[in-house]
Order: sequence, then structure tokens, then C-alpha cells
Amino acid sequence: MEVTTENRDGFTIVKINGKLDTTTYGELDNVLGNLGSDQLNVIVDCQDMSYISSSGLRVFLVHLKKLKVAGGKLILSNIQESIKEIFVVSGFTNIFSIYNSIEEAISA
Amino acid sequence: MVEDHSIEITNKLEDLQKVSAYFEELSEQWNLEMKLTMNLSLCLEEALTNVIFYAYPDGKTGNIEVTFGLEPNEVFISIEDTGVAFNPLTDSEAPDLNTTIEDRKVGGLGIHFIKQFMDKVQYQRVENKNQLTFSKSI
Repeated sequence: MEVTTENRDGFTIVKINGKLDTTTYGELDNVLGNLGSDQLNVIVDCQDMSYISSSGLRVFLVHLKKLKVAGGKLILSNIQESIKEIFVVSGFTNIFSIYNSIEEAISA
Repeated sequence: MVEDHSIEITNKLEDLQKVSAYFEELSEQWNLEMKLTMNLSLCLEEALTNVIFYAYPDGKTGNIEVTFGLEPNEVFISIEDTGVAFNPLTDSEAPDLNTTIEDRKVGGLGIHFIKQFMDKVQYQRVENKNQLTFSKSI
């Protein structure tokens, strides 16, 4: 799995490429944990994320909580159809803002 | 057609990838649908993660046997470990899915996924071993 970041329109866009599971979640955790104090508005783009397990969801939740406390937000975009059910079953569709594209997330 | 295959691993995180790769190959051989493969892979990871992280609290190396079976009406995965007794069906707290972000606890989702995504889940403690078997109808 690879994690890349870019800054655009006041947002930090974190892109996940590959499987986010028990063996890879640490990388995303590091990237999100090392964002600067001026990077509080985060979009995690899931277009190329092919799989997620509870270890990956846990990282999303932990950092959503931290960013909210700091006055920021963590938004998700482009979740693949095949893994949407995992977000529904986990109840994450109720606590995360989820958009169909990065552009939609930025302009929301 | 009735078929089963087993792989033995130890309670190390690296071995998780070994089992996942093993199952992905099997699911190709068995021509399982992508969604079914993904759901089974997810439950396999969740169950094994629990065993690897919690079944051997003293840091000892333990063996885990994973069996994959294809039957006319279902696919099953069975996981047997020699760690501390743990019945995931009764010993784990279900996550509260309707709470606010602030109150939402981090964790508890793995077993919830197994219960939600599989059609049958069984646990037995037999001769100092945990045996967890779950299956999905096909």
C-alpha cells in the first residue's frame, strides 16, 4: 500500500493506493499523525483503495476524532463500490462525510 | 465437489499475509465471486488478527491452523489456535453503531464483521484449543 499527500484549495488530500489492513495501517497512521497544525482539513481519497479491514477503519476514526478536537475535519472521497458495504456495516457512513469525488468534497 | 485445504502459521503478523495470499489463490481456483472472496478475506483477517494480538498474551509463539473448505452449498474457513480461551460470539462487546463521533469507541468491529458478513459462525473450545468456523452460502 502507498500513501501520498498533496495540498489543494486549503485541503490536505491523502491518497491511499492498495490494501489498508492490519499489516499496512501503520503507514497511514504515521502520515495522518505527522500532518502540520496548518493541515487540519483533510480529505482521504479512497479511489485506489482496494480493501479495508477494521484496522484501517480504526485509523480513520482515531484521526477524525483528533482533527475534530483541533477544529479540523476528515472527509472521505471516492470509496469503491465493492467496499462501500464495509463502511455501512461498520456504521461509518453515519459518522463520516463521504463524497463521490475530491472536487465534491472540496466544494461541500 | 467437496474440497478442503489447510495451512499452518504462527502468531506473527507477517504470517497474516501468507494466509491471505494462500486464500486468494484458492478462491481463484474455486472461481469464487469477487464480493464473496472479499467478504471471506475480511473475516479471515479479522479473526486471525484477534488470535495474533490477543490469544498469546505471554509472548509465546503459537501455532494456528487455518482450513478452507468448499462444499456444494457453502465456503467455510476454520481457525484453530492453542491460545487462551476466547469465544468471540459471547466474549466481545458489540460496537454501538448509532452513537456520536465523540462517543464512538475505537474497536470491536472485527467480530461484528464476521457476524454480519457470514451466514454461520460457530465456536468451540476443544482440548485447550479455540476452534472458530464461519461460512458463507453459495
